[in-house]
Amino acid sequence: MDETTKSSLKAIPLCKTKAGPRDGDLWMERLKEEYEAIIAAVQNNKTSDRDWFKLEANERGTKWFGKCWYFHNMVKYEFDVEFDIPITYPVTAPEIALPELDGKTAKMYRGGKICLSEHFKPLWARNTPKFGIAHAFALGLGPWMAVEIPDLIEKGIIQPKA
Amino acid sequence: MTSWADIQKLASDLQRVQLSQSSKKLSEVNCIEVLQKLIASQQIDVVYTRDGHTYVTKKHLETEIKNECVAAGGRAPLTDIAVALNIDFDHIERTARLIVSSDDEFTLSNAELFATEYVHSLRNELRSLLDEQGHQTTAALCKHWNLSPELLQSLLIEKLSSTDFEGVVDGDTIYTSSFLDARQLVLRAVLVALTKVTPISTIQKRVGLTPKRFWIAFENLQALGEVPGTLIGSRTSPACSYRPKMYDYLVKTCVTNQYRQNEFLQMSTLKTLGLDSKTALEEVLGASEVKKLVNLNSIYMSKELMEQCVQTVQDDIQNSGIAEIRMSLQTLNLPLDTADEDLIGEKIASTEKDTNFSDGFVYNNSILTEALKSINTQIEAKAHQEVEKIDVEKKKQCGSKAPAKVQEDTDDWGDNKKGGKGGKKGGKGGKNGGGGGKGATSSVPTGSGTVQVNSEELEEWLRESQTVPEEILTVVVETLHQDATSALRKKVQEIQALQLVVNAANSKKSLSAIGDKCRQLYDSFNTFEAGTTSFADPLGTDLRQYLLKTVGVDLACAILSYAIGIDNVHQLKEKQRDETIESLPEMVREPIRALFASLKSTDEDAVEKFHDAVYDCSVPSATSLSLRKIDKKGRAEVGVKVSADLCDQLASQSDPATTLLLSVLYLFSHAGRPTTASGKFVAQLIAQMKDFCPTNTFELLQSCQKGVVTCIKNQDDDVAKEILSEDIEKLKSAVLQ
Repeated sequence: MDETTKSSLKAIPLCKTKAGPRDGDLWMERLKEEYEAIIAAVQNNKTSDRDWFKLEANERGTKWFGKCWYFHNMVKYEFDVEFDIPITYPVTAPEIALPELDGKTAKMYRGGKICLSEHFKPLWARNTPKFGIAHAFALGLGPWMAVEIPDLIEKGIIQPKA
Repeated sequence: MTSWADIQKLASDLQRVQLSQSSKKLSEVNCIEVLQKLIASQQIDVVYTRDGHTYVTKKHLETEIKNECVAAGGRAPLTDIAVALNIDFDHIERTARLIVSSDDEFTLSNAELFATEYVHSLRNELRSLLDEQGHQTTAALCKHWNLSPELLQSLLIEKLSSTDFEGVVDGDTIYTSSFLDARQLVLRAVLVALTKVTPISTIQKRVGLTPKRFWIAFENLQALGEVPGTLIGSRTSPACSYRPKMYDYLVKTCVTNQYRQNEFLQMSTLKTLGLDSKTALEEVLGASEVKKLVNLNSIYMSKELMEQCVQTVQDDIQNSGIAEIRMSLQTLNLPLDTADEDLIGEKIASTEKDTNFSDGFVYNNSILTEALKSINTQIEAKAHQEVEKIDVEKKKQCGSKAPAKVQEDTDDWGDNKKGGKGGKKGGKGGKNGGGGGKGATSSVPTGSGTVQVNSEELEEWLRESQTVPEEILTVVVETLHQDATSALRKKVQEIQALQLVVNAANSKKSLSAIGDKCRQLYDSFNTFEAGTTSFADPLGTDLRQYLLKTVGVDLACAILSYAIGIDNVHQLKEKQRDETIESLPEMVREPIRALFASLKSTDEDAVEKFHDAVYDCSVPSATSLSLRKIDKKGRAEVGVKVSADLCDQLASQSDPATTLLLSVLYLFSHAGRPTTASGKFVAQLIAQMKDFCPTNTFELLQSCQKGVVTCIKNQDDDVAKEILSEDIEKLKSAVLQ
């Protein structure tokens, strides 16, 4: 884990409530913690001028969607991002998907779900229920994009949006 | 408890936060990107540090490099600057070059940057070094400051001004004026103090200046008139020397004193003093004085001293006839070498008559005469040897000129004949048989003309006689060689003449002896012949035949020996004998031939023929031996002699067979029937002894005869031999009683 990731991870508050979408009021508590964590992460990113994603969710907070972008050679590459909260959340990590990149890289499941590194799942499992959506982005999507996007750009598979 | 309203509120907070402006922070990466952009658009000219964290403009880099150099005392290696600034060496080097090209205060050499501060410090240090030591070589300075000579030259030496120091830069050495002045004073002191010729290199080493500086100082002193001496040799020569005037004065004093004291001057001394030539000596002693000197090999001596030497040697010669110059002049205690002595000797030999010089000895001719006298004995002995050699040569040469199939005996019979011939000629006229020998005699040279004394031999004799010193032996040998050879030849001729006389006398004696022998043999023959008549045939005939073959042959040979004058016919083989007979004159040849023929006859009258032949040989026309048959009285006398002889032989004989034969012959002789016989007659003779022999003796004779036969047949029968020995002893005692 690089220092940047570590430092950004440290700045994200941890969640306490172990609850999934079907856990009623506990889910609300969890959702609140999620929002607080995401807000803290975004604020941190903004402060350090490393803002790289924008998210919003449905009312229940079970479906999330937004944008994520990556600067490569001073060019911004933006992608849609979406994911659902699984029933067994937070034990199971959310499967973050970038539908636009579906089939364009081997590091992706069908439907554009990103294939995370071997370290992610054990790390997520060890830190359940402390890790949440913000942590998943910091530990999962962020590093994935840092590796894959430059590769795809170099191969000419993706172009920047005009 | 959280409500959905709280969630919504948080969602809107999230939106709000996401929509807010992010702070415009330039991260490190941004900075790098911005700079890269600026560099790419060539709006800035920067240099990266090695770690890539820092950029430095090239302008600022110059300043940094200068500061580094000044901080290091005005001298900094570029590598150190590169390390200090953490910038690649290439950039540092490039920038340093720019600095040097644009700023005169900096110099770049061997990847080191030098500032003027450094030069100032060098200058100060040089000043203090010069004040301390007076001089410094650039090599030492380079080593001290770790600078290359070229850099030192350009940085410091070339820029030395009069304000920096008072001195001079001479090649690669810097001298202060005070140092040079001090050295010059030292040189002056050395030159004044010297009293002998000294190599300039020594003086230079002592003064401690380079050759160039040395000669400058020397010239300065010369200009001031403070060099009390002269130079010998070229300045550039390594053998250049300084000769103080004091030295000349001392040399002159020394030579003059020595000459006055000793009356001679050794050349080695003069050479040591530098007076190699006569000219130099003349300068010291004066030309007139030098003219009076006698110049030998290693010494000059006054004429008076030379005359004294000559006189001393002459006195010794007068005393003993020979003088060794070294020994003679020892009393004068002069340091003469061998060449000097030789010169003195040659002078004496050239001035005195009958005087010779060789190898350090002067001698009169009388020495030679005495030396020759002293070897008379050896010359005489050699003369005798030479005469013998000549005789042997003559014999060999006579033999080679005789008819073919010559053998030794013939040679001897011929030589002897020659010797005897002289005598024979003197004593008996035409008895010179062997014309070939005669011819040979006349053509053989005497040999004295080729005789000579060997030089080594002569040298050996003279050495033994000790009349001549070893040193002049070789010369004396050369001188006396001819005289000695003449003396030897004369001696040889004398001996040969004497020999001729003696040979003549000897040949007379030997001929007489042979004649006596012939007579004795003939008497013996007659006696034994008479003895054989007492035996009946066939024994008697056989005995007579045996007599012919033994005594008869001896007599014939003796007669032939008498005829030729040499008693060696018994050594000749039959063929040689026949040849000898053939070479006899006719008057002698025929009777002798008949004589030898009669010996071979087996007729009954062979003995009579023999007697006739003997008679014919002994007539005056042949050999004049006058051999006559002996009468009874004579035979009796011969018989007695034979008995006595046989008795002596028997007493000393130990061989059984011979003892037996002698016993038989003795008994017959004792019985008045002397005879001669061989072993094969023993049995028959014993058979004839029964009548006059005692019985026991007869029996002994018989048993001994059997024993002898047995032993002869059975050589390994020791018992028989033992018995025979006993019987023989008994027989001996019985017979000799």
